[in-house]
Amino acid sequence: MSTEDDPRMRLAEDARQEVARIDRRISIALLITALLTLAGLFAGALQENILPQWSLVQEQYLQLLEEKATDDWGKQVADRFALQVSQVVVPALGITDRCVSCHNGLDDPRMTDVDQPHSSHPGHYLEWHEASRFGCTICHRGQGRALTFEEAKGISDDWDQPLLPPALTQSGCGLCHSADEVRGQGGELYAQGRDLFTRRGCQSCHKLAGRGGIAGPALDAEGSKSREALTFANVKGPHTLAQFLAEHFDDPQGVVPGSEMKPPQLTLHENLALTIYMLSLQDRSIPASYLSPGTHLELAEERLPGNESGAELFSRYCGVCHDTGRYGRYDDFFKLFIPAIRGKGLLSLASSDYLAENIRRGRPGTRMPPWGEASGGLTDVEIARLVTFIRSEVQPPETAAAKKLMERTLDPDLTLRGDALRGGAIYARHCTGCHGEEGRGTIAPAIANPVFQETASDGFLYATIALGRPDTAMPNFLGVQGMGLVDGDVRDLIAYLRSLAQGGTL
Amino acid sequence: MSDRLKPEPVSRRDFLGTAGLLASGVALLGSAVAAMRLPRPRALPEQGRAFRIGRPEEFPSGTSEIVPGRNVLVLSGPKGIAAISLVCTHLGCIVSPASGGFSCPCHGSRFDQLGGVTQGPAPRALPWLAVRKAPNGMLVVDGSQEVPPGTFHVA
Ligand code: FES
Repeated sequence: MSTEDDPRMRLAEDARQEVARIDRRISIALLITALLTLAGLFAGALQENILPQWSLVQEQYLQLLEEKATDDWGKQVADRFALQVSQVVVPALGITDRCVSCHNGLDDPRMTDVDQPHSSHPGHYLEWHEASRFGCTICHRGQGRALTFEEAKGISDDWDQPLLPPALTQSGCGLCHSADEVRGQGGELYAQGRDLFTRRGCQSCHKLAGRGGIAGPALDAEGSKSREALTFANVKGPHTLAQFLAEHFDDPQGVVPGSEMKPPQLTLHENLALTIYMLSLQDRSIPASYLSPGTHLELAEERLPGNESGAELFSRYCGVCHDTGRYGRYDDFFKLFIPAIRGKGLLSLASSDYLAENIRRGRPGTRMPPWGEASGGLTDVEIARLVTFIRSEVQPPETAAAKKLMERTLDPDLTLRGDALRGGAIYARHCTGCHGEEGRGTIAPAIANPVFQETASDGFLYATIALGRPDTAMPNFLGVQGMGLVDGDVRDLIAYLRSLAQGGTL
Repeated sequence: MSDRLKPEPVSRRDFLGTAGLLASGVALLGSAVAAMRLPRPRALPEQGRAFRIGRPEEFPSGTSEIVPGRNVLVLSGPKGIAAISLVCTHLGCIVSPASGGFSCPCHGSRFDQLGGVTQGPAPRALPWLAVRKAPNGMLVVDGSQEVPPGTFHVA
């Protein structure tokens, strides 16, 4: 009997074939998934154990060790070398650096002539800074936990401290050392940067450790600024803080449109040094046991009056605006007239107290900030030194007339003030051009300024108007040799000037 | 029905089935082994146990010195340089030098100058640690490698 004949048998045969087909499909699916899983496992095992960058590098290094092993000790070193993730952990600094997984030869002097990453660390840096106590990223930055070079560089947007180019590594010195300590010891650029910072008068506008002007931002944590804090739209190079700083020094307004920073005009070398110094200013807390004696000293000095001379203080805190201070000048960049504070004109009339008080309290409403301890951070001792320096080139007045006027400036109030209304008319005719309407100041200082009003005596005003300010645009107004005012006019003018203070025009 | 139950030579279908089962078994086993590795990290973020103590010349024979912050005594004698751990073998307090050796402040164990126990409860002598010369010429104490007491590194 043939199966084809019996419909029931045919049905059974069909069913059997159907089952066999499904069976086969399941078997194939099972085999394929199992093989895929196995392939995945195999790839994983390879990637974890054979192929990682550090592992390949370590095998190369092991070969190098074996090549360089000339004696028993060398062979021992090679034998002991274990292929493993190695790392430097420094809890005190919050550092976990796996850089040493690839940079295996850092403190092996036999490795000076081999290529990176196997080569030994240049210079004496590691001799003085044991890696296990300092780690790598403390100076080099980068992502210490990473196990591939690409990730270690930390160039991606999600790491704030990208690896520094080797030329900028000296910025690390500043975390623990004073500039003088590292000068000539491998920290020249850092020291030069610090010198530039003080000499160029950066603190005229920027505060550091509580001392400095207020026109620009404080710089205490400039070197650890995160990338989010910066705008890179106008930065041509890589988007890193270091690059931002360097380009910004070259062209402040080009990088930060609207920046009020006067371009510091640095050479290439100076730019590098100053960038390094900026990068050293970090808000990272370093345990006291890491700080060098020089730094302790410097920190102490930052709190006590330092031993800077008046001249040093002047260039550090005043230089950017007042330059040498000898001449009044119109500053092209600030678009401002800047008074000659070391010129004969002022100094032959102004008492030291007047100078000190004006430094201490500044000139509200102008670019001259208060420098007293509570705001600018200068102590009274330092302000006194500044005043002595400012006075250093000008002798007290000699002529009898000048002496008489000088005496008058000590007079707290003129016995007889004039008529303010009439004074106003004189002011409008003779003074508005430079001192502005109602003494608000344009190219010449604002007379209405409260600190000026409080610290300048009537006598001082009288003498200034009468004698003018030699070396500036302020002429003498009294008498026929001057602009032709008479004594009464000057008194009227003073009465008007005093009314400006009460008017509260500023 | 009946011929399905009959034994027959390995068919293509059966080969497929067997291979599939075997392969998945191996894959499961492999995954299990791989999964067992997971809880064991390759590197723990803990401080390295090996540290530099200085150049051999800094340890003239006949001197001993406690390495600051490391709880290790470096001993230099005519036989060479050795390092003794100052961690008490009882419960891990830090022993301090006392007359004739070391004493533990916690439960009063005493050790002689070479770390041998002279008074309990410490169960065994203070461990001696390996001292080696690193490639840069510095001496390194390897806290992870204990050596038999009396082992000196010969410079
Ligand atoms: S821990 Fe030292 S005696 Fe107990």
